Amino acid sequence: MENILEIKDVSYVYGGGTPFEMVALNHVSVGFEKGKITGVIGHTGSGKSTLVQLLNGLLRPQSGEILLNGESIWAKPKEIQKIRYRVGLVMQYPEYQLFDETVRADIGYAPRNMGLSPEEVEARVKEAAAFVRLDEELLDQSPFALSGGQKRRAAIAGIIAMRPEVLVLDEPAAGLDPLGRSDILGGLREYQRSCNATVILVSHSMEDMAQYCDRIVALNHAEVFLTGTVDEVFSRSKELAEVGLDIPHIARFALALQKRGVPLEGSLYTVSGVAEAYMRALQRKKAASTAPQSAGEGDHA
Amino acid sequence: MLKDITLGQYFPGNSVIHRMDPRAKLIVAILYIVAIFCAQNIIGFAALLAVSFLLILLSRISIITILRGLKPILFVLVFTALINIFLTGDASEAPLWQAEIPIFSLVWRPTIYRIGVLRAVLTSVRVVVLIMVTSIFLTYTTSPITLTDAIEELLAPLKLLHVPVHDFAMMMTIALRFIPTLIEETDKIMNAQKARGADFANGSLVKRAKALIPVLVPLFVSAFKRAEDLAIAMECRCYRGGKGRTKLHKLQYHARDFVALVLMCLFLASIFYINYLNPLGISL
Amino acid sequence: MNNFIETEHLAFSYEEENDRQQQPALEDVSINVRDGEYVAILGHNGSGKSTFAKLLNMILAPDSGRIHIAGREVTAPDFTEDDMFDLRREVGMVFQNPDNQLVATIVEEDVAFGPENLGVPREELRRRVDEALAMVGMSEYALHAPHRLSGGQKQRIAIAGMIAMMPKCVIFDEATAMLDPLGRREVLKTMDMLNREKHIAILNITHYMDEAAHADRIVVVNDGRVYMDGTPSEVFSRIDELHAIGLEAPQTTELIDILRQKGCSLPAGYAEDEACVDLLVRLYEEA
Repeated sequence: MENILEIKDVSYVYGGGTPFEMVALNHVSVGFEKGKITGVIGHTGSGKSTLVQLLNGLLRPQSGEILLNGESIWAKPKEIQKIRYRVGLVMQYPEYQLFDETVRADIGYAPRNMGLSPEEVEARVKEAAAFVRLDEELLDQSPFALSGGQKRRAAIAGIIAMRPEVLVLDEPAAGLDPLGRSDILGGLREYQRSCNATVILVSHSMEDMAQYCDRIVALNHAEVFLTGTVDEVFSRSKELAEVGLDIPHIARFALALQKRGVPLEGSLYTVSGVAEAYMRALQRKKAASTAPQSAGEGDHA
Repeated sequence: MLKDITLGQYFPGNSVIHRMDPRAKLIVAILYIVAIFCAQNIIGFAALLAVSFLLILLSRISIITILRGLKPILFVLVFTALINIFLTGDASEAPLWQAEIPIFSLVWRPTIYRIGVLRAVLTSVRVVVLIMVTSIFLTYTTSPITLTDAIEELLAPLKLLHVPVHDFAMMMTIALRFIPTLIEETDKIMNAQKARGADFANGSLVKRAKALIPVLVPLFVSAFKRAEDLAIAMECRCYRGGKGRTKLHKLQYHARDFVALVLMCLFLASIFYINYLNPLGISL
Repeated sequence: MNNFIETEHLAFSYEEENDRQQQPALEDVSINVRDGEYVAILGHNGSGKSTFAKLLNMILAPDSGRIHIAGREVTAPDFTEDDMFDLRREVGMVFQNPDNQLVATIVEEDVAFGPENLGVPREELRRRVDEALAMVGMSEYALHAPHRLSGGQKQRIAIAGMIAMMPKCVIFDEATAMLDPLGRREVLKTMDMLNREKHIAILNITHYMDEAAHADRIVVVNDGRVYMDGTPSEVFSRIDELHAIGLEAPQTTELIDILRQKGCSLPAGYAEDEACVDLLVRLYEEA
């Protein structure tokens, strides 16, 4: 698959040369596939937040480069703003960015900054609001009159309205209840499918990551620890857990079962996956005990 | 970055200055400020500089940190220096430098006099020393909350006049507590709006001021929300003003505080004496 | 055991300027908390659970219904400000945003803030602050500035500030919602410790199921009413009812539920990981 966004040997150090020096990213190279949802995981301080701000040019790498469609985003530093329109970034708790008199005007802020015509701005506002499932009647209200979840969606719409080639979101569901989470993340999944959009998602919730992502990049201590499809990464849950990274609750549970001698196989990071693996294990054992002579075959079936 | 501002930041430590009573520090700082404004000649200013560096050494705060704290006032410094150089002087004296710049039908004659340069240098020294010493005494080595305690105690007599001293002190504490939080938040909001195409660096002054609206509105909204939350949290922690409150730390004067006060009084007196003597004859 | 908190038929509506949502936040809620009990109040955003917390803390007064705390009727007409002051020292409160509840610029001064307000003498203050910080494992940060700490550490400071007031009950109002997994674990561990070792009653208002599983009892609130009330295994065994109001059971409970549907003979409602592992290992070994 083709990488739309690529990070090549990027390093970023905060407070270089002072006693507070902190390496956020250490020679990181990683690619993000076009048309996929890629999840970035890692604990606090692993460099995730630095990474997202590097992707849209809010931060400039101290070494290495970031390629968007094969071109360095810092080729023309004066035009970095154009990169920010192409790589849309939704920051953590993005409702803090709402400021305009109406939701409509607020979502239209970025398109207006892009210099689009009023008709085009209006069209994009409507399109973006539809993507995040924000009712049209809410568009004329003050953003401050919305509920928590609605504010979050309005803020995300404000970025989608730029029609970015890559949409990057830092913890878009933080602090929301299960319904709010599935609303936002399910909405993103739909957006990705209907527009074949590229989405990069940072989250602490491994359960959400397992459910909504296609690929995973796991960061650990400023370096890429693992990268691959959700299946590939979470099938190595044991290694992830060993370096102290979080894994889905159910994956941790599956590891505990394996340790106690239940031979689970397959994708063990979703509830249904573990349920199926357990049923298979049970059936194999039953088959083995009812027909001891064909136990070997049963195991391979 | 906004985070780099060190003005008004406390550095925990254990130097002599750190250990002084904040009330004593406040009084000493005020005496020093008086000295700064009373000094009139070059020897006096040299003494001010010398004492400031001595204080920096005593506080054990790195000189780089202190110089970084001066960065925000650099503009003011240069501006006042330029005004002093070009716009003040003594016409009876021979100018050091003069030029003629025609502006339409008029001719502007910028002239530099010796006294102007002297004033520029001395005023700069004055501002630099002022900032350095107040920050050494009052911010770098004194936690804001003890400073607030000090102000509260020093102003305590005003309570008799029904001045709400405690409330002012509390307000100051809270302001100090939230300044770093709000600075961080400003940074965050600015980044969020930059990601939506806001441009804070380019364009005319009006355009740049307008670009700040998307930052200021959310900042105010959030500050009000924080204020409301904090008021509730304080109420839940049984806060009801200064009435019946005790304090974890009681301020106590030690011998070093009296020594510092006496030394500072002597220093102030010597500044007056130097003014009176004016040994090199160079003064403002 | 006595009820430390007793509420009867609480109702409350927010006054809305633009009469858009006139739906009451609480319609009819009666929840009791015994001395030293560990209760989780579970519900999604807007279920009324935070309003309930504000009523308990006397920040809001109910439209109707009665609240008793420590045997005193808060809703009585002769309940004075001084009474409120006396009760608030018994009921600590930890809020959602860790930044908005720390008052002082130095950790130990912040922990001292509550007892200072109570007029606790200085030697006693020192002792309480040191003990409270030790209890939440933050002693080494006593002289740090709060704004440099992580979210979980800030919440632990806030908790220490409550402990120093020696309350009989601490209410956590979505206190982990803004934390990362590590911070959540820290705070949760502290909650457990307060309850198990100090016998302080805990009321954890949350929408995280795995947190609720730590409690002795879970009260599920929905649309301003009590929807379920029981032990974690009682509540989690009614998985369909939880799904109906947009809540999820812990993943292990969901797993057991699926296995039951596939015909495994397993009891419903298990929430604790170790117990579930035991259960499934036994079933496998017996097969």
